Amino acid sequence: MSRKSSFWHTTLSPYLLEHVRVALNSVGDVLKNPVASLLTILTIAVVLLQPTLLHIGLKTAQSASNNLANNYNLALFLEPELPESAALDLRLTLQRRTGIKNVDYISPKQGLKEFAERTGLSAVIEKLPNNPLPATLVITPNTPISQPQLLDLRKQMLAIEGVDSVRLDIEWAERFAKMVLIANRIGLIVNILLALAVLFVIGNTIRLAIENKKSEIEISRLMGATDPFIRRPFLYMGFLYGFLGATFSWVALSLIVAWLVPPLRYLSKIYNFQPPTGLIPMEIVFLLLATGTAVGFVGAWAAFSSHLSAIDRV
Amino acid sequence: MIEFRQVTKRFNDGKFGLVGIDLQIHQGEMVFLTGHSGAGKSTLLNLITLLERPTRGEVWVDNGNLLALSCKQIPIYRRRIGVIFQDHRLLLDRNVFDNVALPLVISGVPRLEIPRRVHAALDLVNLLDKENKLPSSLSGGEQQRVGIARAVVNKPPIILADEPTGNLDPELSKEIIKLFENLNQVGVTLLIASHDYQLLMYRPYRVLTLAEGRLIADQKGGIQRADTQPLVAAS
Ligand SMILES: Nc1ncnc2c1ncn2[C@@H]1O[C@H](COP(=O)(O)OP(=O)(O)O)[C@@H](O)[C@H]1O
Ligand SMILES: [Mg+2]
Repeated sequence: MSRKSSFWHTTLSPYLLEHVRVALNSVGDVLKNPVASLLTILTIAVVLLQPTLLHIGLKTAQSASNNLANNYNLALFLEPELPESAALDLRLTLQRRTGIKNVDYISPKQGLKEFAERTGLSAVIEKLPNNPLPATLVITPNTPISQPQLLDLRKQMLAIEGVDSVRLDIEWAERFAKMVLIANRIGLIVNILLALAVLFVIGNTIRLAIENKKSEIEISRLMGATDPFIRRPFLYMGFLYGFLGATFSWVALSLIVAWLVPPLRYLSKIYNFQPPTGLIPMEIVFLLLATGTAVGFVGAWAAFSSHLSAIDRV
Repeated sequence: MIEFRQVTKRFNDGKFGLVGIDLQIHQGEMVFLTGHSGAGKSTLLNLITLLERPTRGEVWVDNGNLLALSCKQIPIYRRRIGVIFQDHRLLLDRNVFDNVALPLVISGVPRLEIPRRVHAALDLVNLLDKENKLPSSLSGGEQQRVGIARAVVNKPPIILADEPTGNLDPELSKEIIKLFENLNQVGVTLLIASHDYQLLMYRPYRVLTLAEGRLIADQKGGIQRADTQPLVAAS
């Protein structure tokens, strides 16, 4: 700290200069114990990773759930004995009904082909002695449509001659939406707990740093150092740990997401939702870094406040 | 400059550190505080630096009652007092320059001014050539001189020293006392706690003697050999 170029002296205000000095010293302190510092940073990174992953997972699930909620379809499974011509006639009749937007006919053969494509189980399916799938009419009702209306429509469809059974996706979609909601709330609790964990890790590291500098703090006090002066390097240290932990977490997160994207893309084709891209969205990166540094700062502050009273003060 | 009015210090464990101390030290005086180990010397100094608060009575420094100082004012007050310890209490991971610069950094002295003032203080204790050394590579006498440079770098009007020669041989001790005399000559008020009677004997200092927390003697012209006898016998 004794030899710095005169550039720093002349261009920066003394107050700013003091902060630069303290910040650089804190970087030096963190680097002085590279192994211990790295352990702290990695611990913070791992702890921060979980809520972030959860957040991304929930976002994806939510987009899937929204898609499902807007795609209510009725699948009419026709009786196996019904000839194809009768099925096509039924399709035309239904097409003309009010409240129905579109009717698709899926023959057993076509259904099996699509199933094979979606699941990649074509090898297994080829070995089947006969096609187990019925002919299906997929009805897309006019939207918006309420739940009672949907249930009523299902009743009407069941009454039609030649219709064996009707499957309505509404229950599953709603259950899924509710599960996402519950997961969201659990996620919030988990996030708070994990934030406390980071607080604890950083607080403990700062407490050790304070302990190591105890004699320096005591002597500085006696020479007239104010509390903010003594606190400053530890706040910078907490800030730095939080920021570096969050940065490491970001790197790890990118690797994990890159690893998860191919299977998710495959799932998204089956369940018809927006697949995640390999990049972490900017707002999540920002949230991660902001949370990391804020928690680091607060952890350092808390450690300092609680530990300072232990170091003699009058 | 420093005034104690009926000061009593009773510790939490019920022990008395000081009992009914009344004393006055004027600006520009150089005063020794003596007495056996446990007599209350350090306690008296700690009351001036506000490391301790009196149980009863008042301490006045520079015509201000220390009781009136708010928490915010204490650091500012402390910058006007230089403190020297027996174990010098240097920061072992910083070089001599940084150790001496510490009080200046704490008081927010402009960066550009720091080297000049550190060098002036190191010059005073004759250690200019050691500024880049770590304290551990210095001798005991040199370490204590670094401690003195650190205490004077802020040009405080008052210097308190607690057993500054406790770890040094007589030759080095004399050197340290000589340094204090030089400071005293430029107007600094000094209060030096020491149980080293040899050092004080036949010298013209004012000597305050403590025994079991009480001020039992205040001699203006230094102490004679005979004065030390009853103290030794009493312990
Ligand atoms: N914090 C404390 N708590 C209890 N007793 C103390 C404390 N500090 C000092 N004492 C006691 O007060 C007396 C005076 O101590 P001190 O001022 O350190 O003496 P000296 O510096 O003259 O050797 C001693 O008996 C010591 O044990
Ligand atoms: Mg003592």
